[in-house]
Amino acid sequence: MIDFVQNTVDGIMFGSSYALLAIGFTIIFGVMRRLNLAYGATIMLGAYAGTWLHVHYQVNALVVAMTILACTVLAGIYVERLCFRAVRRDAVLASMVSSFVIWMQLEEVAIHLLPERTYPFPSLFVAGSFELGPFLFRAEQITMLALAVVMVAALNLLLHRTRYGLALRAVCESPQAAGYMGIDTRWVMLCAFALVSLVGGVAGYAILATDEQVTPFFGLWATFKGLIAMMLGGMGSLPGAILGGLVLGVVEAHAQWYLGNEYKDLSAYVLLFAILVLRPGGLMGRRILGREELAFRRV
Amino acid sequence: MTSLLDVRRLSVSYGGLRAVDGVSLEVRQGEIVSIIGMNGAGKTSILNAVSGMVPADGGEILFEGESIGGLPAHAVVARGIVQVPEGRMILGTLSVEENLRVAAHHRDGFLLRRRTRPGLRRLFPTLADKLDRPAASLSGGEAQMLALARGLEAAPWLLLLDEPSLGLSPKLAAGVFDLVRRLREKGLTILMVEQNIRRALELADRAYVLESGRIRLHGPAAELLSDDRLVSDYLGYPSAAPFTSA
Repeated sequence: MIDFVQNTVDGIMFGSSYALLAIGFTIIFGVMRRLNLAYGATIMLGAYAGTWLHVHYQVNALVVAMTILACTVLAGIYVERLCFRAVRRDAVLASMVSSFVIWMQLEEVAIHLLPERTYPFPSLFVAGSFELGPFLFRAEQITMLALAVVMVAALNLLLHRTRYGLALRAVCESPQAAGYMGIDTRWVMLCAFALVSLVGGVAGYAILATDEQVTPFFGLWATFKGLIAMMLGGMGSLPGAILGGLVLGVVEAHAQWYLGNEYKDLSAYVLLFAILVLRPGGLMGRRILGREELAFRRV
Repeated sequence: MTSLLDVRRLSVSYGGLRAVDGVSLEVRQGEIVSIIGMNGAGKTSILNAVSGMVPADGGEILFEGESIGGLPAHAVVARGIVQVPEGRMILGTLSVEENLRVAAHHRDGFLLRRRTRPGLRRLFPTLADKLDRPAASLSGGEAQMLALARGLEAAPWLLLLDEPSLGLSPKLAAGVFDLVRRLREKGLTILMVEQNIRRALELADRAYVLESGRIRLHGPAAELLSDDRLVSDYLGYPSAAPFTSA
């Protein structure tokens, strides 16, 4: 029982970073109705830019953290300009394919910046662990959870208490209606990319600071984890993204403990498959009705 | 009366198909102008071109003497031209008050403030009690009232109304037209597209009759309403009297 609780707590802590990644995918999907496959790569490029400064100029961890946030935001704006603004809104496939191409491009840039396979990642977090009764807590994971809670609370305030948040929710529901009401939809979309890149930068920093190393495959990893968490929770649902991230973290933590490290990633895919079969809209997404059920509900 | 909106030789096309072909019209300060015509005549395209929601192929759009052609929609709204679109386009997941705030967002600071203007409460008493409800829960008539209230919340100098009575029962439609009349009495200038031709002509000071993207007729609404041939064409009444050509 102690192991079960310990794994659940560990899973929630790590899952909080998955939730932040999923929030990024969800907001872009909500605003653009298109998937941004380059999201993980933009975070990875930001992380590589920070690590490059650290490797070549020995800058301190705070400068690395700021560089990651700034470069991730810039890379996010670059993706918006190339893959989303330049492509017509109804050309969903073109946007996805071009964001995949930009993903590859950003990965190449990162490999050219730092050609070796892995690099140590400088952390601002206080390392160490402490015991509370029978449970063990790692300081980095608590910091990660605290960062995620602060980010989600700030996002919630932004979305529901600010002018920009209201405009973003209006654009999510209907860009056309928002346009009629005088909202600059292009500006809102650009800011949405910058915003989710900032959230992604925080998530990326928290994950890498816990792992203390960075590789070019971090982009692929972040894309998979963020996409899976978003689909688990329900596409386009912010509470769903948070729930999906936490559930993914908990399931992975249990699979790693009970089945072994090699089953950790496999458990995520099995969980996603099961959710999509049993509840295709995700845990908190809208239920996807079958044709017969739709016809039945009409009368 | 001075001219508030001056549209000159406006053309609008969709993928090579010309929807509006060299239309010129004028809206003067404080009047209601109706554009009437059959489905597909190009009425909504004119409004959308004025509000910046669709690009014009050619022609000029002047507002208070300054060209606004080519301006993005948000810049047109900032100048005081607000369109209440066909089909209402209510943001259903947002509350009634949030819908109103969306329209007034350019007057807010970084943080949103809760406020309900007393004037808006007087004009829309049914909405005032439902400010916290999701807009999707409103009835058709209430949704149309919200669409109008949202348009007014954007503080327009010129209100573009696209089919305000569409999908409403005769009683509810009468309420909408009564509201439009009251808005005119308060000095608001209105350019209206409406399929209920009799109502549109009764309300308006002047009207333009559109056919296949071109102005077929224009003149004082009262004259057009007494024009038997127009009434015959659009309302189905028999007539023999000639009408004034554009």
